[in-house]
Amino acid sequence: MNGPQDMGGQAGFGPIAPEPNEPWFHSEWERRAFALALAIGHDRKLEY
Amino acid sequence: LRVRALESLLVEKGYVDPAALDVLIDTYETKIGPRNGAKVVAKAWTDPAYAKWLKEDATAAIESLGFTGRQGEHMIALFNTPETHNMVVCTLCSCYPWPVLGLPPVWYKSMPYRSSAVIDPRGVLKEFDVKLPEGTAVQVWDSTAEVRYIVIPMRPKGTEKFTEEQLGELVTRNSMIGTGLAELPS
Repeated sequence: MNGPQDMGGQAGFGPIAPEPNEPWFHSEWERRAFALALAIGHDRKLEY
Repeated sequence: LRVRALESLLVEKGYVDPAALDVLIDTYETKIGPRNGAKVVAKAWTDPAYAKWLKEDATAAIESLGFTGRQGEHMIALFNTPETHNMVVCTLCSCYPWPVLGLPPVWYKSMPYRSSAVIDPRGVLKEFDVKLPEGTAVQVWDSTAEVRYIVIPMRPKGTEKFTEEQLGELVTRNSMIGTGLAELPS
């Protein structure tokens, strides 16, 4: 089941460059979008 | 702006309560984070019976401390030893044990980490300034759709008299992913 998402072992993506003291969210929209995604996942009105 | 439009639409239609969103955000910003995992590690260092339980059934042992839920339903604890250093990746996406570590950092989800962790783990460790002794093997664990891993780093030397709380201070987030070691006591 290979696909573009299966990244293990691929080369050429450059350095990892971890960000020191990284915040949980970088912008306000990330914060709201994350909460929306979780909240929607819990809503029983939406059945899927 | 798109997020705002989406939010007002979902609120208008009664699918989400804006106050609930604030609670969710607060939970993930202040209550869930690597301090939870550090408590698990410090307890494993000081309580051999707990360490044994953690080895056998990490999900239950972690749940006993109150850390449970989304992205932590099936946990496995990986104990570092002088012979083997463990490191965790999710090559397919960004699977990460939220209840004990919080939300994953950007680098964990990034293409460079996901691609190189399995092919060049020592190179990755070097980027994180981790130096392992010559004879230590590196074992990389690739998360699956269900299983989440937490690395139990080795307890630093010179901490024999430390309390559980003091030990917890030495446990960094990266040391529980395997891209770091526990800090040395200052």
